Amino acid sequence: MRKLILFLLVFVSAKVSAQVYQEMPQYGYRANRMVFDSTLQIPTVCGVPTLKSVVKTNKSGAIAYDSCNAKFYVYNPKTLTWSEVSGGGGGSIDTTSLSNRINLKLNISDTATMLNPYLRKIDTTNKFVNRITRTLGNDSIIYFVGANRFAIKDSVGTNPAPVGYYGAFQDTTTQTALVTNTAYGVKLGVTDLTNGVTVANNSKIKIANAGIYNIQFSLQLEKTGGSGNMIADIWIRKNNVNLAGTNGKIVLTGSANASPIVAAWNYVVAVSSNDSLELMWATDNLNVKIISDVATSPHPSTPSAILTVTQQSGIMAGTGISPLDTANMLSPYLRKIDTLSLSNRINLKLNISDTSTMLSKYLRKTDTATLSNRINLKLNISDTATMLNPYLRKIDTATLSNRINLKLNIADTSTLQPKSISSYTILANNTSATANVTAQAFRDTSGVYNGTITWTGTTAPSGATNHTYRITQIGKCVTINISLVYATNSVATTKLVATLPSGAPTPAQPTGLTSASQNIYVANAQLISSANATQNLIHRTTLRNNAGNNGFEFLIDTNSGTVAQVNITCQYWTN
Amino acid sequence: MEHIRQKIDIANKGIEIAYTVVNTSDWMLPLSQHPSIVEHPELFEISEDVIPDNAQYLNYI
Repeated sequence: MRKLILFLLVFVSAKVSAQVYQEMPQYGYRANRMVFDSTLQIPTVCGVPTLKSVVKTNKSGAIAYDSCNAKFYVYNPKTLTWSEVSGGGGGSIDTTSLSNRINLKLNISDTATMLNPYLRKIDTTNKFVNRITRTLGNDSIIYFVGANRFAIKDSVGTNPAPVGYYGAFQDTTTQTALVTNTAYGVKLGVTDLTNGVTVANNSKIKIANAGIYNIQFSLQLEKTGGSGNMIADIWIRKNNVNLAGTNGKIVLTGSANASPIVAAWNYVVAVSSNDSLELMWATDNLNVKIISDVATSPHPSTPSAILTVTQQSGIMAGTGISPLDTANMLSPYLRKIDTLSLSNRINLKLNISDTSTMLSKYLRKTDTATLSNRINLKLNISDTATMLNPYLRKIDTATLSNRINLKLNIADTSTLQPKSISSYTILANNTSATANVTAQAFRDTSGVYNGTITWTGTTAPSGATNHTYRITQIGKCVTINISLVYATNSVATTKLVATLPSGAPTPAQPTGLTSASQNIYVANAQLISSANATQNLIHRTTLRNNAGNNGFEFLIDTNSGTVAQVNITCQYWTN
Repeated sequence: MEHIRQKIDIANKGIEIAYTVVNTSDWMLPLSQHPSIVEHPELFEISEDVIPDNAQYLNYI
């Protein structure tokens, strides 16, 4: 049988033809786990690939794609290992920006340089400083105050703003007096705020630190019954003793339970460390109570008493210094030694009380009676007034004064000379017989000529002038002289009109010569070219009524000539 | 008031000097046509200065 089977196998193998090569289809060829078409599709694995068959060394490589981790692997037949293929040049993903970002990071090597300024390079163990210097405006420092206390100075101020000690208290019970006119401490059962100020025994305010404190309180007083006015007194005690001048009286009027009053004021009190203050009250009627009330919308509860304590001066809280500290701080400077020797030295000194005994033996205790008698014989200063009184002339001064008033003063002598002659007068007898003198006009005056001058010609004399007049009047006769002097000659002068100066007496107009432009008195005029000129133009001219017949003027007609000086003289009469 | 005055020597200004006003009360034409100005402009001039109280007058011929 075995032979038969072997024979059949040989026969069949002889009949089988060898495999004939065939070209691949146009669009690829598929093998197990691989496809060859427009792309080469290779086997995928999950994780590092492993070979399913033995590959001989230096024979075949292999590739595979790890689809789980998106990695590409290649098999090295020489080393029989798979390696991940990465990078590969031409990668364009973010390496530039990544590099830039990395450049912004610190290198470890840089940290040494960076931290160097902050390193303490010397050994500070057990090292202390005695003093810290603060740069104002930059440094804030903490410094040692004393004992185990420290304080802070900030960068801008000398110390942090000190906060004074304070306390805020109230009481929520209605307070009553059991006996009239008896002092009771105002209860302060609730502490709202406290810093160095506390309440002891329900009413005593204990202040731990010395200073000046403001005590501000309010009491809700009410007349709860009875009628008529009722009084409540409120004051403070310091260390259980009434402080003088602190009482205030509150008068409660009106109907019971209908006229509550809030008594509130303040005290500023100087206290020493651990002093106690107590707000006291008393009433003359037990119906007066300090009432409290519960909260009723919209207002909160009504305490019977509110009291606050705030420090005004002294060593403030928050400065790091307390009175206890100051004792410690000052202690090193106290002279605690040598008081014994000092005391001994003092004991060697004299007491004032000893001087009496010491000086006693030197006192002259005798003969004072005689001495006193001798002194009594002397005059007292106070006696001199009495002694001198008889010799004083106390009378007749009024009469004497009156007599003096009748005497002439030196200043009066000037008024004694009589001034009986009127101004501008002389005394004369203007009658045909012997008679008493009568006042007649008399005047001699001069000045700057102030009349009006009118020239006729080509030019008037000009330049610096010196125009004057002089008038002499005796009785009714008037003599006037006018001088007109110029620096520069006129040209072709033919006429001059010069009015009487304003101070001249008014001429009397002779009968028949009262009309305008009528000549009333003769005058002489001299017209010359200069003060030293030899050529004189002397004219007999006239004083006449002016054209308006409201004034008087001198009219001088002349031949044409040059004029620098004019002299006019005239005698006329006045009324 | 506008008027004609005899020219003043400047050298004399500041002292008491004569101020001469030409009488033009009867002159109806402009002052510039007055004979004193026309014939002797070197001696006379038209002025608007205030006439002083002590001025003297000239009847120009």
